[in-house]
Amino acid sequence: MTDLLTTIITSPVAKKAGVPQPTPLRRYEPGAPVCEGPVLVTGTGPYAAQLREWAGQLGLGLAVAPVEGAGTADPTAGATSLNAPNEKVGAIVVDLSDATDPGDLAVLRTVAPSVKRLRPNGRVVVVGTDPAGLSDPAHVATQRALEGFVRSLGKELRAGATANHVLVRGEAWDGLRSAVEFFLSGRSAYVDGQVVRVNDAGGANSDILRPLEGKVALVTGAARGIGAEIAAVLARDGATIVAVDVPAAGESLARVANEIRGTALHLDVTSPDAGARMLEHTRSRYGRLDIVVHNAGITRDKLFVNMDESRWDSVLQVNLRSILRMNEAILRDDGLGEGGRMVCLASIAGIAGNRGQTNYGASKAGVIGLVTSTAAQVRDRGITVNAVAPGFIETDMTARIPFATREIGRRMNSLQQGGLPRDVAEAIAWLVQPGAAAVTGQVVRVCGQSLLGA
Amino acid sequence: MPQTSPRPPRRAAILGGNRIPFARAQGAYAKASNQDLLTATLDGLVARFGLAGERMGEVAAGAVLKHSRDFNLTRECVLGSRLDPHTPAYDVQQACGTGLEAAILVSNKIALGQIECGVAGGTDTASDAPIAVSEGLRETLLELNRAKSLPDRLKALTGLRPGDVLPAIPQNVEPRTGLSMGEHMALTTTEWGITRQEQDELAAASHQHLAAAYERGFFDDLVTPYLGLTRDDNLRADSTVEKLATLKTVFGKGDGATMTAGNSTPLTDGASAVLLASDEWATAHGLTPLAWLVDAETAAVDYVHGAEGLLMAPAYAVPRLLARNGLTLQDFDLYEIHEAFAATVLTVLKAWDDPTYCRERLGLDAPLGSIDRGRINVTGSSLATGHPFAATGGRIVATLAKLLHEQKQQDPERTVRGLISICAAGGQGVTAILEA
Amino acid sequence: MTREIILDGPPDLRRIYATAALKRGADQDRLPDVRVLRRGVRVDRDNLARYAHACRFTFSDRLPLPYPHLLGFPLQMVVMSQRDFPLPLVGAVHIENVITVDRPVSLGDPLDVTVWSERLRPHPKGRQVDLVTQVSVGAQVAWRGVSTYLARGDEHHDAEASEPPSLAPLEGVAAGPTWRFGEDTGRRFAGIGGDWNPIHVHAVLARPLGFPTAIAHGMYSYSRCVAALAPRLPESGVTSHVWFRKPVRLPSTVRLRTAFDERRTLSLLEGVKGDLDHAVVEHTW
Repeated sequence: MTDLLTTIITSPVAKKAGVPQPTPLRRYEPGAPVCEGPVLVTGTGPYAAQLREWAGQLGLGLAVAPVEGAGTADPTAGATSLNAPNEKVGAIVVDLSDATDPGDLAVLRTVAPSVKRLRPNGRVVVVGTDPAGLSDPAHVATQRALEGFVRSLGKELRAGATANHVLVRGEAWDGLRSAVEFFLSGRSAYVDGQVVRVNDAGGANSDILRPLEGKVALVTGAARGIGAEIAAVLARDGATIVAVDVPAAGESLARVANEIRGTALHLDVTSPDAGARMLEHTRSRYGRLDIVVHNAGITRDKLFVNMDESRWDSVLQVNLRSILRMNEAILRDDGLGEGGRMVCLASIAGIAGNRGQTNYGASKAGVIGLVTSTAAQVRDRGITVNAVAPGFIETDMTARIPFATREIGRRMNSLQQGGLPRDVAEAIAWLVQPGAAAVTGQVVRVCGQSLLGA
Repeated sequence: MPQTSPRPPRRAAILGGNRIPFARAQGAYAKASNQDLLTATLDGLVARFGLAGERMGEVAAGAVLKHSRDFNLTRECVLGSRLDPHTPAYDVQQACGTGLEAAILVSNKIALGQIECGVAGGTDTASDAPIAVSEGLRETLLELNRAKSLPDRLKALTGLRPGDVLPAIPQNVEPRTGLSMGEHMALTTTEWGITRQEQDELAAASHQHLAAAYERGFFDDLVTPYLGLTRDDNLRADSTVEKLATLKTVFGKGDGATMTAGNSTPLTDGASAVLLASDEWATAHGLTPLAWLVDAETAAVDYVHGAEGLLMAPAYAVPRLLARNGLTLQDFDLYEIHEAFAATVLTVLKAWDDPTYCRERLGLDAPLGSIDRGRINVTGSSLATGHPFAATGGRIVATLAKLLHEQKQQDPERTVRGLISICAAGGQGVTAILEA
Repeated sequence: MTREIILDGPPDLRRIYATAALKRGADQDRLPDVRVLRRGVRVDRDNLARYAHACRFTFSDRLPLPYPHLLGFPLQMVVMSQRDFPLPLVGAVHIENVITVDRPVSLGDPLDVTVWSERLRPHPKGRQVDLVTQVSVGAQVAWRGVSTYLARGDEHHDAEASEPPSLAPLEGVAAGPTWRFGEDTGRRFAGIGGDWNPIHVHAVLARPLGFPTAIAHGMYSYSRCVAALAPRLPESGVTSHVWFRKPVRLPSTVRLRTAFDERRTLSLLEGVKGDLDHAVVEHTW
């Protein structure tokens, strides 16, 4: 029967040949525990006790760090002692936000035995203080050192485990809790080696299963791929969705909207009245607008020297100019309301650059600039503005990349696999929660700690 | 005994519409059935207006070319759509007037307070047209079915003739005259002396207007793509009188023939739907009425023995409609006159301006007069979009409602008004007035 | 060593049937370590239209839930026709199928289809095996189907067989869609799906294989059930599970009775007289 088969190759199983096989990532399931327990909360910082209490409330089970060759002195009732050599740990949270001297970093060393016992898809979260608000060189150096530690540890962890860093500024318990919950949960499956800053804004989710209940969210570029997934995930979390895409994508858009009982709005984000029409639509249909996700974007790749005007212009218009213009309408006083949330899709190409994408890279770096400056402008109104920068995400766009190139692309990160559109959507769904009020002006990369762009 | 008193009629609002791009027959939708087309159209409407899971008062729609299995076509489409399955539906068929007649039916029920909201629509496919067995074969098969014994069955079969096994492909032919619609129109065109030049000008304008409307995004919230088609594929944006002048005539005889494939509508596949509701329902759903369907009139002519042209019925319907509403033909901001053929539009316009015709045929003291041509079919019509018979009415109602809404926004103090005129097979004409 | 068989196009199933018809199945208890795949498969629009209309789905550019099975089926046949495959190709009965849709698949999506076998295990009436079909867009698994086949043979009385859920919710559901499957149903669906297994083609061919008449393809009956429920199902994040019971002999008239729950449907496809259970279908999401 070999004549039927054009190619027969005999290949060793990749695993046996030593090629690392990606671990299936643990992804968020509504109602499931935030992460696998037990959780080890340690460190000298002021939040450790609160974090421990919070983890206990979530029923995650607390762990106590193993003590070198000693009998177990168990300070926390009901906590799992890790002195048994095969005891696993689900997550490790280290609060070193009080560290002022490089010597204080030694605490990190004490969690090494626990890191060794981290479960697949385990989590390490290190809490620090935002060095931007500090001045003493030793203090700044110590806090900055944490970032290098986290990023390096992220590259050492295996089996879907991640390490991330939360920086607090001021009395930031609400924000810290929200960020730690995100990093422990499956929502951050493909977020690794990242730093997120939280400020002192207060906020909490009133409904754990449907944190976006009652909110109206508008998602551009929602007909396919990442946009469709954002719409679906925000709807799952309780939001009513206005799904926006160009008229030519209307057939897919209708299906996306109908499936989640939202509405489809056909418009080109580059049209001068796009922002006004979005507002008009959401206001007349739902009487409000709480969340805007600027996801629409295009690529028109060409080496810079061969780039024609239309490629250059169209990418900058769709990916950057349109957001600036829409925001003029959306951020007016009668637009996005108090407590509003905006997330823009940036890209790793806007951080690290990408060959053949001078136009795209420029537009996406521009988006990051837009996000940081706009966030500062609207902070007084309780509106947060953030960017999510996807790395290699498996979509029908990347499916068209030749197999070998694709395979390289998806392996060049600490998790050694491509992310899913859902991973991007989950990060966005976190940033738009009421509880994430303390996170603004940030760029969260959903890239599995890509080797590109550090 | 408590006595019920009739509720006063209210206005039925047109909230918007949806259609799929119209496709020339045997093209993009060659493999799609009427049910596929109308279901996709309903789902597009559902998405645009957030109606998933919503129970509508009713859905009225139909098709002209219909398979026998589609006896309950519209209800089947509702059941296949994202609408609440508790939404009732029924089929309507009034040839090319189907879509508009459906809108009139739904709006009347809304006006009478019998329903709060409804969808009117239509679909047709010339690609997936029903093919019937010949009359001889059909009779034989029915006889065979009635036969009880084997000898009877054999006897029934002996009635079959070789020619009977050929299928009967539906033709666009009037059953009572055996003439196609184009041949009928050619007679009228000659009678009224409509020139080739005039027809080609009207056709070119239709294409240009449609192209311009697409360019300005006018159809962004009226059309949802289907099976990869994003615009009507009959549209020739670069159409000119000069290009149209090169086409050969297809209807009419000899030197007097003026009608070509360019100034006649092609066979087309497509579907459309319009969302109608009471003002209260619209408000409750955060929807802005584009216009209101205020009145309608349908006329029919006796074309069978040549006393009147097949497609002249709108000429009769409109003066009756005007008289009832105390309006003149010039009291409209916009006119949508279905372009079955370019000559159809031109003859009816000429007829309304003809003192003799208006007096003798329409029984009017004075002609209705002429219309500002710049107000007719301003975003193109059937010559450019194509004409899937039952879908044309819905296309026109939604288009005109949106156009009126646009004009109203320019001039909020004034009532803006539009007239729809659609000619239909069987010598019928369906007309309606929309106001915003 | 996993052997990978990469196909450039669909294999010719008629040839596989012709050559494998007499094969008994290798005398071994192991499954061949082989994966068959096709990359960049594009769905044929005309075939999709024929499938949609035959099974009463609305034809659009979104693939109906069971459709990717048709892409995987020929690859399943390649796996099962391997010299060292332990079950016979002809005579193996499709007893169960589970489809999970993680993301909807559209007409234009480039699809990678991979098929392998796993879980060779005893069944009370012989041996059963799962043929897994995975359809990916890029590396994202969009659709996954697990088809369980039974080869009758030595009985294993203590072996476990997957049992459908309790049909108690169907009590009181008195009616449902009723369909006439004509004598030519098998041939028509074979023309669409490519499964020309003689048991579906004609009674004359089915009789030597132990069936008094031709029988409908399980995938056809099942597709009709899914189509009847489709407007009430989500397009992704849904699992569709069918347990095939008695085959549908052609011609016959069948009825689908369904109980709807908030995130679940449970259906029974049965003979119209209610005397024969053909399939139990469950959707959860």
